[in-house]
Amino acid sequence: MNYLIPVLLYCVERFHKERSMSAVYYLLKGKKSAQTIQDAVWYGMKKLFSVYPGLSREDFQKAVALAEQKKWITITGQVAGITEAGRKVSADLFNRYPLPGHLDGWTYHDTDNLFWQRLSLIVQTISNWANDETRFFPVQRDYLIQNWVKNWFRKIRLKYTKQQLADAFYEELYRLFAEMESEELDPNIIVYRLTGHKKPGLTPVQIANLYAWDYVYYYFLFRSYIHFIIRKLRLEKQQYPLLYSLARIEHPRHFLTKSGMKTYQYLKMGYSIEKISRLRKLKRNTIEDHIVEIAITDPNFSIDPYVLPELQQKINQTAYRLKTRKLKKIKEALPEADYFSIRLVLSKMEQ
Amino acid sequence: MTKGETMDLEHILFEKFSYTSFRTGQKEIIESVLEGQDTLALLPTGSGKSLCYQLPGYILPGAVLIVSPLISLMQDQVEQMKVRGEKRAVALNSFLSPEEKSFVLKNLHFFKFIYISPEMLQSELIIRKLQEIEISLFVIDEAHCISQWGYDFRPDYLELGKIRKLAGNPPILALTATAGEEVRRDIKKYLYMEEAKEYIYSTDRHNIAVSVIHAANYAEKREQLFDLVGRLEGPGILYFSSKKLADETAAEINRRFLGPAASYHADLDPEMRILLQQQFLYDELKIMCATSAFGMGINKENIRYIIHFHPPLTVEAYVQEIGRAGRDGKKSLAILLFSEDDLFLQQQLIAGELPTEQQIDAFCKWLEKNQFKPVEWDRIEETYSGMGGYSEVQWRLLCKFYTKMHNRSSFPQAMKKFVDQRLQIKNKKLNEMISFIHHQGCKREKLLRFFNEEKEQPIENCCDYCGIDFSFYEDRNHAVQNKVSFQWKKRLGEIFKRM
Ligand SMILES: [Zn+2]
Repeated sequence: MNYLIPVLLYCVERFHKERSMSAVYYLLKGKKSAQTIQDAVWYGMKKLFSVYPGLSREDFQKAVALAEQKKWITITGQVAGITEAGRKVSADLFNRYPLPGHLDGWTYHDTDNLFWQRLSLIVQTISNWANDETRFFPVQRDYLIQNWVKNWFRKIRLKYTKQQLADAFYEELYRLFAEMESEELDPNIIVYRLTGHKKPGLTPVQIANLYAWDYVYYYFLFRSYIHFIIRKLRLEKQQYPLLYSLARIEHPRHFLTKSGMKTYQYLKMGYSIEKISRLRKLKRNTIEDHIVEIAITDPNFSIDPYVLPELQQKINQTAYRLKTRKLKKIKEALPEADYFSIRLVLSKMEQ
Repeated sequence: MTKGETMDLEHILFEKFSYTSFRTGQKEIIESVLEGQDTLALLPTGSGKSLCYQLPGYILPGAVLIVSPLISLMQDQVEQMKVRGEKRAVALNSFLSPEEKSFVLKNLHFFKFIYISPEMLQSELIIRKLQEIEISLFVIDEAHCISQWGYDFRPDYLELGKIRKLAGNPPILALTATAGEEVRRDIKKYLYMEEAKEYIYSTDRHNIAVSVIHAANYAEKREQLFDLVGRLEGPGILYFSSKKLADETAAEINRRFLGPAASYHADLDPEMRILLQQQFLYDELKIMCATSAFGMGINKENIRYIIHFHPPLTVEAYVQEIGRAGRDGKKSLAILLFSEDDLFLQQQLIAGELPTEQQIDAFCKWLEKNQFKPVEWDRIEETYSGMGGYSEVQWRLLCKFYTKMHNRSSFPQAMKKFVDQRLQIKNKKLNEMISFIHHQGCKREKLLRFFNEEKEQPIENCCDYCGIDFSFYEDRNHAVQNKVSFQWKKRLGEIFKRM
């Protein structure tokens, strides 16, 4: 069974008949639009944000068509919903192949690929050195990655001889994988993808076949392992100085728009919405949009100055009770709340 | 050229490429290029075409600009150059991310060997950047793509003559593996190289036995394929005209433990392509199930057989593809499996590359809605994504053709006429292929005659008509496909050479 199906059903279920199939597609692809980002947060699907950037429209449409034909989902107008049969299929599949627990697209989507590309190229280089070979076909062709790795070696070689570096890198990797194993994560998922001297790694399809898994399941598992690794390296940087240096991002990409960022700077200086609006010659609405944007993307941003805790609680309860993220429905049930407050509270809801 | 300079060529050949001698044709072509002559060279696949412009790069003062329509091929070439220590090589194509592209363009003067796709040359920005550097040689790879008589006509190629002028009129080296007289005339005309020197070498490969096996239907063909794959000594390539079939066959070969096999086609991302190429190169894969996207950049000497599960659309493509076997000069086998239902599939493939009358009419309606604005080149992809009912090839062709028209009102008629013409040519090419398949006589002779050549001498294991001893190509070691057992500690230790 195509693992895309249970993932898709899961998303549809979470969107409880309030979003379209395209919203699911953009979520998995990781589209950086205000709408998709808001969907990920409001509907509690941050971990699935941008976990399948390589997903093609065609493959997605095929899975949707199948799910619709089997009556696992219903699509009415712009909105998709899950059926009882769909719920069963999804529960059954997730029972056998659970959604990998360490998946966290929201936090790692701009690091995971980079980390893997750097790691695989560095391992390949060291392996070739170990065999006295300086010429080889790099597994990563991206110039920017190649340059990054070149610079990395230049810097690191000031501190290590080739032999020392090979030893230390091997030791860190070995320790990392051994610890993964003790947490019941299978290091083969990663190790067999690595390329050594005259020892090309296996492709995802090859590994999936050897495990008799669906390719998409392997894809998700691999990505979740990379997320696990990056998280661990950032938490334990002292224990993994070499590997940690690959998991660092020099210029993290921000979800915030430039204009939103500017508003955030003023807020940090203690300016009120009115004052910012006047200063920037922008409508109050626009500044409010920015603040919602900030609430969504910055976990440390507190909404307490804008919404009284009591009202926050009421909005929360209403949203849960009605199982909705539709502003209008919440507003109807809770007239005392204004739209700005509702949006802010939704942005801070528990995942 | 004096004797001293000739010595120099051999010296560079060894220093830069680690070869001790030139292969047939290479030296003559290189000398012609170095004399500043426009040169047209017809060299069979696998005879080292790329050396003919890479070596002059070390003597000429400016950069060598190489146009190639095959993106994966240019990537491979650039990587191969880097492997042998040449860092000043780069490929400009749609695979580059915007960041990479701007990095390359900013540093263009640094590069000696610039590969570029014909589409990229339509961009004014890139032309401007190219005008800022000195170009000493303009290489047109797969030059037959310029001719409407060729099987692989690419309208973008028609612009190359103009671009040559914009780039300061450097001498041209036009390369192709296959081109009849008509096509050669077109190449010279459109590239403004009427005075070119021509070098033409034989397409015949004596060590490749040529065989066509007829099957009653698809199912029988499939079983024949697995039978052959089980018997023949690898490594081998199986060519399919569908990606899906390549995927399925590779899986089935692995299920029957006849492999290891993998499938290779245009849908794979670059990392996967590299891994599969390398696995094949190091004989970790025995069989590659591929579409025609595979093979060109592969410098694998010991490919023992090529099997075509579908006939290629032209004799030229067929000759190129079987030419990937036996580069080490050892006995190799080319087998084409054929059943009559293939014809239908091939005709569909041909039709699918061109827009139908209905599509042309629908396109005109779309134009009307858009006030007949021309479609800019870099927006083609964008406009396509919103359109249903066209393949991308069809969409591109429509946009391109429309944009190039001066008289917009005659567009539908002109487009239809063009499609008819292309269909005629493509069908003529397919008929050549079919006449080869059904030929009752020496197959090699038949093939050579398409290129105005004659079979020179009798050849042992020549073709199915003259007789092939198949036992000669069988796998006597009966190597069994091992099952991989995952042991990460062992694997990691091997990578870091710990044991
Ligand atoms: Zn013969």
